[in-house]
Amino acid sequence: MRLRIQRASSSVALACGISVLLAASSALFPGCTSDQVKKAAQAAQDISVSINLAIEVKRDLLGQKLITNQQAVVIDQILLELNSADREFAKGVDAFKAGKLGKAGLIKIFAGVNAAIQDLNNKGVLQITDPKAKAELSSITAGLAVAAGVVQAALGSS
Amino acid sequence: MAPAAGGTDYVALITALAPLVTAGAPIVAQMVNQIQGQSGKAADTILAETGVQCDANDAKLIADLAAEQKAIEGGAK
Repeated sequence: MRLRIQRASSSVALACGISVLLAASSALFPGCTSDQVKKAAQAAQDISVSINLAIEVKRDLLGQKLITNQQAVVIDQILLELNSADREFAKGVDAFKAGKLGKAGLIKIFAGVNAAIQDLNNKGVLQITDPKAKAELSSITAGLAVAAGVVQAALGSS
Repeated sequence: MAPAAGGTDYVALITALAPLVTAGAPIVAQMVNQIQGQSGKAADTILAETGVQCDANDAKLIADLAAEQKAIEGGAK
């Protein structure tokens, strides 16, 4: 229980921490193309972990009645789309690694992840009126956007 | 925090978020450990773990959706 409260109260800092660490890990190896696959794989995992964090934060916000059930449903539906897109991207990275998929194909698959992140922000987070709820969920979408940036940088698609 | 023309604007991002990261230092430290742990993992392992996490996310989201829609229907009665 204590851990749950601590997690909820620190969700903004955690999401920001993820953002900075993702940025730092990418900046450590500029121009290094040999680990493109690993960077993409790590970003895919970071996105899946961020989705899990978004679910936990949404549950807390709903429990506090800072968002409505209708808003929670919209967020869930978009998170499901994002989760499916991330799973497909992870499979794409695997295929890319095995030489069964080219970089252009992987970039095309990743466009689905990017679109879902934008939907989460535009159709989900920005529609929330409570400022605390909006701030907490915005921090997660910011982290997701950074993870997307890491993938784009690794693949040279930005 | 839109990506710059040449990629993500990491400097602006870090500058903007630094105070919040300081506030959450213990949790950030855990994330550092996690990422450092990941650095030693093979891509195959990371991708397999991602698949497991995605499956867990799906299960949680489907359960949440059912509960939330039930609450909406209950409230409409």
